[in-house]
Amino acid sequence: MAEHKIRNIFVEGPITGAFVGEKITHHMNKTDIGGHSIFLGQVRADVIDGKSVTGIEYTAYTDMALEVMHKIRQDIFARYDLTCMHVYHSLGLVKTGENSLFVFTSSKHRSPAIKACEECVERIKKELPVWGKELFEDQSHVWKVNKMDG
Amino acid sequence: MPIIKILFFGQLGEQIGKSSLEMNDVNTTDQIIEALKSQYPILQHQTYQLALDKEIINENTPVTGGQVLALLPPYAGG
Repeated sequence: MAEHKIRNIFVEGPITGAFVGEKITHHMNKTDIGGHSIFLGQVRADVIDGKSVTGIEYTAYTDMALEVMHKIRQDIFARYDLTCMHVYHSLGLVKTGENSLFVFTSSKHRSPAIKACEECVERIKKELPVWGKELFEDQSHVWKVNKMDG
Repeated sequence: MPIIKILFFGQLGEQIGKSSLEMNDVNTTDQIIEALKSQYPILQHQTYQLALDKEIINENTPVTGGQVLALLPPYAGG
């Protein structure tokens, strides 16, 4: 299925389990789907210089990010036989233990969904202009940088 | 006079104390970066990519009025 329009992927605050469940349920009527692959990014309580991260405050260059995401989506649909793909990323505060990224791919058989999901997550980490301020209990912060080896 | 809008994201916006500014009398992205570095010396020690009108550029590029140049520190999405 070709995807041509630029879609919003950003949601304010965490991506909740209820939201994820609702998106899964929406696919029950798509009976040509045989498998879904889901990636959920979760905010980790990293310890940096003896202080634990309590949350991440996300910001983005949203206009550019949506264009980049559109290109990633087009590339992935060209490479894999997917039925559909949905991406949601948080903006604003996401606390430790909460989810900030939800990538959801579906296909007739499992392999395209699994491979496309992984490729999509890797490209999001590498190419999407999104920044995260890791917050500590004492109100100080550091800026997060993605590792490229996962 | 042609005006270029400059955007600062993430730690760059925090360090220079603003998220955008406007600049005129500039013809290339190199000129803009040199002017920014002399105005905000902290930029000399930062890592960032440039996006002109939302497209990443990797070399000196001519600019015209109305364009937007963004300074993008390392990404942290996901």
